[in-house]
Amino acid sequence: MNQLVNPELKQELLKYGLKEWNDCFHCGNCTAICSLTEQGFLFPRKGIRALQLGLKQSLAGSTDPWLCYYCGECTETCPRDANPAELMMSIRRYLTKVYDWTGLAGLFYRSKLALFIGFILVLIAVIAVGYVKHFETEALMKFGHLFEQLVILAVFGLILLPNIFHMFWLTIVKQKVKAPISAYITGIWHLIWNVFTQNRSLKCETGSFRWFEHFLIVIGYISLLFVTVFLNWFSTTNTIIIWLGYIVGGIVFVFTFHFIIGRLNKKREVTKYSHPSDWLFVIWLFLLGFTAFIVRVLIDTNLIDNNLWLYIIHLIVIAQWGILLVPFGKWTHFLYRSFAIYFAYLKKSALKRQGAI
Amino acid sequence: MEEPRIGVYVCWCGTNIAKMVDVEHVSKELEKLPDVIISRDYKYMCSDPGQDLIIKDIKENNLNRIVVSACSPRIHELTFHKAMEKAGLNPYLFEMANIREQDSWVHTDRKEATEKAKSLILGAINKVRWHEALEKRSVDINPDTLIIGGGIAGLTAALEIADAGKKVYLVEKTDKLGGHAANIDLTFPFMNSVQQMLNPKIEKVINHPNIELFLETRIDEAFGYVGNFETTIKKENEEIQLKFGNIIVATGLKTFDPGGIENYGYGKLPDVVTSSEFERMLKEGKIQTNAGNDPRHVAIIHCVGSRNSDFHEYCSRTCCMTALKYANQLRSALPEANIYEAYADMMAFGKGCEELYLATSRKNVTFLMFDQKDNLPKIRKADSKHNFEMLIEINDKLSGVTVDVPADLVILMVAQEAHENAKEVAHAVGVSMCGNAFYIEKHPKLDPVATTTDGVYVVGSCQAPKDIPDSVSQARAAAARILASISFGSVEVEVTTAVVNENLCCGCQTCINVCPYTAISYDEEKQVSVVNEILCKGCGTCGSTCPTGAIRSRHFTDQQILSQIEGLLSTVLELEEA
Amino acid sequence: MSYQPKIVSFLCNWCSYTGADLAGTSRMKYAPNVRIIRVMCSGRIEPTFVLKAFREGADGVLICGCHPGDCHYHEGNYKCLRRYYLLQKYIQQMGLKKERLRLEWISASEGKQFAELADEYTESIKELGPCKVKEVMEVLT
Repeated sequence: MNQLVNPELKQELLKYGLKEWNDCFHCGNCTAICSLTEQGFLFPRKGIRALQLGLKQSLAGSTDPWLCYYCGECTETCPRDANPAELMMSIRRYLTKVYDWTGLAGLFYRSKLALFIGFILVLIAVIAVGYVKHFETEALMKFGHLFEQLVILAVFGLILLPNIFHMFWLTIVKQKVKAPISAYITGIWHLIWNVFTQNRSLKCETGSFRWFEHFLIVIGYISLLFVTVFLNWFSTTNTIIIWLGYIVGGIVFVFTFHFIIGRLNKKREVTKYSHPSDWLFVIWLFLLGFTAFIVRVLIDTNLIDNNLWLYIIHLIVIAQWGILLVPFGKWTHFLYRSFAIYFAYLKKSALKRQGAI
Repeated sequence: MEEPRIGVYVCWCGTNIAKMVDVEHVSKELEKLPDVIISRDYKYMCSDPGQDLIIKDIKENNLNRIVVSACSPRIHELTFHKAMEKAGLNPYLFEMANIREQDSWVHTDRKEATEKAKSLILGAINKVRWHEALEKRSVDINPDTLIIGGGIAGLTAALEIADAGKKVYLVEKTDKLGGHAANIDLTFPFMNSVQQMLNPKIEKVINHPNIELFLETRIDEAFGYVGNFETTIKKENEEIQLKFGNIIVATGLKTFDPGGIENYGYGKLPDVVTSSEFERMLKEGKIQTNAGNDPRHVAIIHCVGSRNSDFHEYCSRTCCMTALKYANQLRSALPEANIYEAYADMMAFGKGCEELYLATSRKNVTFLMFDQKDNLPKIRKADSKHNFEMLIEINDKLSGVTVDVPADLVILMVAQEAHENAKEVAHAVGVSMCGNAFYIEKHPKLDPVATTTDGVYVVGSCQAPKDIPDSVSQARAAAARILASISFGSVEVEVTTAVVNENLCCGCQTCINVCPYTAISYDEEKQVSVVNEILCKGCGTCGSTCPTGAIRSRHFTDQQILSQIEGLLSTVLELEEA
Repeated sequence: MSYQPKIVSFLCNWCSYTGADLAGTSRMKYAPNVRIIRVMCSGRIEPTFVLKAFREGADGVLICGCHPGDCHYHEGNYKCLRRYYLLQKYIQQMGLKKERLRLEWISASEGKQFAELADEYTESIKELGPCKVKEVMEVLT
């Protein structure tokens, strides 16, 4: 069965940051210049065409948008100023909505009001918990620690894992990708390696500093998570853990601060266009590191009891981050991109088996 | 006869000729020939210095015959005629050898091409020896003009000439004026109302004292020559004799019937309409499906019958922009509808047209590119589970994916083709047709409204599909040409006519039977045939028919051509020996 | 070098000569054996012209005119057609193959057809071999 052309999809994508779709006249310069595209995984032109025609199945079944790291070279080369890089970005936002079974990701992308209400509700809930716990430092911090662990479990188990399976269903099962079983196993190493290093982006023209910065944030973020959630940074007296926490917290907040500055300066293609979701992501990532840092300083200076409100703010930031931004916001790109690399690996093995590449 | 003193000029035409023909060698070889006084080669003979070279040589060396071997005589013969006149030599003492179009451009071996050039020039030299001076004759011009066709081109030309105070006979085969333009709502790319432009023109033509209008009228064959034509026109049962000096053919074209293209289902699917039918919907202000609903999906298919070897190979020129115009009009009329343009290539040249394309693409119109050669879109009826009428299967070239486009209304941008009676008119006025039955202009670049028959002009879409501005400019150009010749008062006529040698004529009258122009009559008293040199157009058929050789076709006499054959088949060496 | 026949071609000014010009402006390539003589109308071509061409050493004569019905002078090409059949019979009696004389219709837009005709006709004359009229005549006189 042929796919049905659906011009309304473009209208929908306008809500995901798409600005103009008809500037592209398909010269293919973007694909030619892209250092990540390869036979069997041609982008961004093909994706732009699928978007122009509103071919939902083609878009949903493609891993290509996730293979792009937004170096912006295609946009710089485009003779029509069609901004292919940003087009790919809007497709990624749209795909986040497609994969999400709850529908909340889409809702938050489309409606700023819904997102605002969500943030307010979480804020009220955290203050309500504080009220229930009579604003006692000890009890609150204990609750906070438990809450962090529960949220991680719930978000991964109930939302992100099903979403990834959905992505697998759309890109592999429905596209009838017949990869050999061995590829599923060898691909796992690929997946893990990419989750931590994202070293594919080194091929991009933007160079190694951007990769290094990104790499440090990922490592910093994972370590911060590890330190606070599993080593219980705020409650420990172990000096090594405390100093480790300081270092990674510092890294996260220095580099996210640099990210924010970049988006304000708009000097590079990658930072020129910022969707609200991009701002939320970098600002909350910054706040996360920053508030954690402050709280630990207050603990070490024994001032936390008099400044509990700061811990509550930290808790609010964490709750908003964990409940809203991680499962439904830009944070997911970390996960989807890594799995897209895994699925693309499967696809490539299938194509190789067919002798297509 | 005076001793021939021949000047031979071999043109390089930049590298066009010199690349394939060793022009220097050729000109040197030819200099050895008897009677060839001067033989030169030069970069561009047609340029002013090139012509001055000939003029100077004629004056200094007392040349009395000139051969220029360059491009086709159809391009530059007149140029050199003028140069000859400037030098005080009769222009008919001149011959051209075509070593570009018929030699350097069509051959790949330099040696062979050079040999061929030599032999062609030898032929020309041999022919020019026998050329004779011919005196130009001129006749008075009848200041009236016949215009065939009352579309926008015919109307414009009629008004232009009539406003200058000259009489116009305007003949239209239908019962109303305006032609195809009258069926159009708005024009591309600026969306002007056609009615506002056309109606005052029609009104003015009808009431113009200098325009005699014949509606529902057809013309018979026009006899005569530039300045003095006459014909009979038939209106109902009445026959009217008209005399006029010039003719403008503005017969326009018709639209292609897409019923023959099975893929599109025209005639079977009620909501597949042609562009003309859709134009009518626009004029009535009612865009609806056959069932009377507002269409939610409107698809426009380009190139229906155009640019396809099964129908017409040419581009119909106006359909792409008309289709974009439709998209704009549809967007205003049905803001919520989905509009699709399925095109093969977007032809958007001309003032404001690419801009229209860009502007349209910003109005949420989905463009799909199909392969016109062997993968035409296919329209089928949608089954009841869909909430639209039809599905168009298109292999989208830009994605390589075969997709289905939903449609409630499909507009076929049908090709523009020549009238089925284009041939009749062509014969009546003596213009030639190209393979697509459009009329051929005298020169595609330098003389786009005149034809090979002097005094007959082709304007508007009978020459090729055209938009309104182009038709109007052609009409005005032809009018200007005619007014110029009328104001000059007389016109030079063909002097390369036939002439009878009364001493040789036996009075058999065979020539009278073959003459297509009834230019030969029989003088009972002298018992010989006599050629009316005004009516004669110089085809030479009588000359080759005459059993006694009494008729000479001037400029193409037996002597000249036989001599040319001799030259063509000889070699330089042989001639030298002779 | 292989045998290169000499072919004289008479083209009418309005259709065929223009068609041959079009082959040139379109840069089509064809055999250089065809040498063109321009006449106003194919009706002008006298039998003498054709015979003279053979006498002077032509191996083939190619006449081109407007398509039937398209003659600039209305019917010159029909006159030519009649003469052509007669002439073919005549040259056969002289001992020439009738294929050495050929008539084809070439319109002003048929540059491609002209180029193809020139090639095809040259090939067919090559197969027939040289025409001996000129040599024989030289011996006789």
